[in-house]
Amino acid sequence: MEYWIWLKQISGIGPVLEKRLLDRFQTPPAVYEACEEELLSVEGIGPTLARVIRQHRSLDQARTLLEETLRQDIKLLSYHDPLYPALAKKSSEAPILLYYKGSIRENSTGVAIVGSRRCTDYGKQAAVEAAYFLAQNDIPVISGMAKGIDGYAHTACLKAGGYTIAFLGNGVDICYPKEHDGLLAGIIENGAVISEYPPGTRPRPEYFPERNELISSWSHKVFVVEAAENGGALITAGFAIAQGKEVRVLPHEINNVTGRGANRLILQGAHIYSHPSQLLPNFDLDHVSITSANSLPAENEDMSNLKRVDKSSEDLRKPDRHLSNTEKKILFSLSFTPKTIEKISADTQIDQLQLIQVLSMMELEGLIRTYPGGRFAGHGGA
Amino acid sequence: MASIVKSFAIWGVDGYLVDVETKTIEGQPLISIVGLGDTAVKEARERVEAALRDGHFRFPEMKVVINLAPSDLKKSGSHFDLPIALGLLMESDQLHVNRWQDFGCVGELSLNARLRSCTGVLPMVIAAKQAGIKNIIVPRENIYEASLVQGMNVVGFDYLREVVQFLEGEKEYNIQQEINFHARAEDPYPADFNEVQGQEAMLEYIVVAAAGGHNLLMIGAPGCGKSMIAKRIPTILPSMTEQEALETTKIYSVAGMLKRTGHLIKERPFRAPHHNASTNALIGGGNNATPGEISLAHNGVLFLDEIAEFSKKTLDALRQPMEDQQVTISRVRYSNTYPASFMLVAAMNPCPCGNYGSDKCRCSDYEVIKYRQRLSGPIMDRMDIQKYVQPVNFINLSEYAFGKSSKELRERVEFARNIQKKRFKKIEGINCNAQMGHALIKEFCELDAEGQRLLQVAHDRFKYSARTYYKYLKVARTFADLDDVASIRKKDVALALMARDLEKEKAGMMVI
Repeated sequence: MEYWIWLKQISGIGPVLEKRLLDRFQTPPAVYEACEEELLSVEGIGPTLARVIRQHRSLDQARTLLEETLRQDIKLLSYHDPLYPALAKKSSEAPILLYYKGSIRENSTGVAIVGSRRCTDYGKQAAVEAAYFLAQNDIPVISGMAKGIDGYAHTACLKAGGYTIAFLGNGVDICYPKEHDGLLAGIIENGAVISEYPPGTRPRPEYFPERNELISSWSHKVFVVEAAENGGALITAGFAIAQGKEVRVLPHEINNVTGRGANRLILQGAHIYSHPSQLLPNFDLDHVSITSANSLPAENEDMSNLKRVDKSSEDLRKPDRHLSNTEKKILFSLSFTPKTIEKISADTQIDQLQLIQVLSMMELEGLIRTYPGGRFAGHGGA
Repeated sequence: MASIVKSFAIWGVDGYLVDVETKTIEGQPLISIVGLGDTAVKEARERVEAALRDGHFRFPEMKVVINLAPSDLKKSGSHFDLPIALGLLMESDQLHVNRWQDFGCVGELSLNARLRSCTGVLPMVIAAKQAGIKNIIVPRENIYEASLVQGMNVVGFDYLREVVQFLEGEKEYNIQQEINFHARAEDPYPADFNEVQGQEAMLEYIVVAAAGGHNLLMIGAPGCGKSMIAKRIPTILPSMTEQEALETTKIYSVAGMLKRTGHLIKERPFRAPHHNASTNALIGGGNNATPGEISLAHNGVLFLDEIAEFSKKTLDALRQPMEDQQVTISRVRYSNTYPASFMLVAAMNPCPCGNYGSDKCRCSDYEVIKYRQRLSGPIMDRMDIQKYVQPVNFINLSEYAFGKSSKELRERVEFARNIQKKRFKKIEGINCNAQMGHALIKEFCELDAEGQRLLQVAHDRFKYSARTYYKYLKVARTFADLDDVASIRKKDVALALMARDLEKEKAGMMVI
């Protein structure tokens, strides 16, 4: 493997040239042994590059790296490895060598869920719902383990027992952002964290677009949840479009700053996301092409069979008994948005002291549930 | 024979008797003070010499040895000036005590023989009483403090000469000072809970916290009224008993914080150290191992605003004192133990940006969890009640009814506390529901059938750990006590289950 590392580490030679070299010489050791004339015969390699390659003919650095890699229980995925997905190889920029922790299974390509680091609850719920759905359909969730949407997508997938892959803009031995250390461990256990950078590489802004390209090239479809106007998610979407992949975008409120980039994608012709089943590979775009304005996707025959998995209201149920007037009033008040006790009391004119008691019982019965910030909501809420 | 004057020293918050022995020996004029005094004690010789000359006394021109017995205990403070001066005068035949057989004295001397006030007078007088000394001489400024101890003969003076004249019987002491402990100029609590409006639900939990001695954590966006509520909590705690007042006053006396008033502290203290406070400032320590904020909050409220901003180490240092209700500060040669029985009230933001739960907040669940982990598990565990404080729409304040007054709430609290007092009468070290351990919870937290069923449902639904289960039981016990019922009802359980917002929220977080 040290020859792979050697080839990858030569500066001035990118993935495209590396692959041409591999095409010409078959294996990295052969590239290593090649003389300058032989190298010159490869298209794109001029005298300067050929000299650079020859001057680099030392395996010391590669061996140190390999040792470090093995010591940290990091594995290597080379371009010739059968586990390297064919889909990912389609990209000309596909790296010839990837470092990873965890396990890469067959059929490791899936659906990317990317979005803002600073997301809204709406975006979070959509990402979580999609990730749950994909996990239940055994489709890997691909993302970048960043804060916000990325993190939620991985987390939800793992919680649903799914397989997920995270691509990092740093070495796989470094956890960035730090608070994701638990998540990182979870992904390694039930998926893989992959990086094209050797262990010990710190995150740098210029690494992230390359990481984004990897996310896109390992995915059949890209789901953009929330993207600010110059966010990384837009870069991923850009790669996906360039690679001819389907990009699904969650529509956002026009006033939402973190959703403007996503809305612009829609303006530019990306498909709107409205149901997780649209992320399935066999979901036929043409099939839903709307013939009449009334046939919304949700009423589509294929989709009616698919139950919507809404995690947020999953544990809520309809009451199986006669509700008191107080409870009806409360449920009515909570049918749209989550509210605090103070607000419910103001709306329903029920005394706060009585209210805490009733709410507590209703929560136990599963009629309502707690929301962040000491709020409550019922079925229709949130 | 050496002259002996009785004085006192401080050990922790307690005083002990010190014999100040003075002996003149033939030899080079020299004064030496032995008995492990600190620098303030050693410097007494300069002050005493100047004061004696200024008071037209003769300073013995011989070798003088002064011993502070017991000689193997460290002593500190400037209050040995007076006994040393008196000892010197007796030894050099300038003072003949005609009035009293036995007396104790403390006081610092100024260079022109005036008596200055000193710290720790209250515990010293208590020590005098315990040692059977009835007569005490203190600087006039300390007379109030010294008189807090019943059955003592306390006299206070301004000048050394007055002390000498009094002891020789030349002059009588005329009691001019009107000592009235009960007069109080201003209301100690101008703040009242009736100013907290539109938050009745929150108030109910504060009453429960106060009634059961439960520690309270308030979570809320900046400016929602957390500090306003905290400042009012002492107003609903039961009034201090004589014993408690004396304990608290002792600590303030030792800390030198009584100088101004000299009155007994009768209001429960409210201490709110800034989050920049060092561990020593909070726990106690420093050069003389002086009491920290937790001891100054003894029998009162310790309010930690922005508790997440305190250093983790400092917070964790609170654990042991909270458990033992006292803190021991150890130094190489000695250790001081201060009482520290306080109700911990803390406030924090729900997330790094403070707006968690609103549309403004963009903190990820991982960040929120990380932020909350600044409070270690054990500290979080000791917070029986964790409630969100919701901002009140202050524009419409007139719509809200005036809240309940502190007096009204305090009556409920005192009522529940009395029940607990009876309940824990025979159990050492337990005064309120919050202090119950597992065994006591099993013994005293009996549920009625409906309550039992409800708690079971909650347990099945939210998969509580045993620890959490007991926590809810304790809080439910206090709810039941407020209504004076023996076994915990369904209602109490329902209310208790709403007492821990953070814990519930954690279950709903999308994190691994």
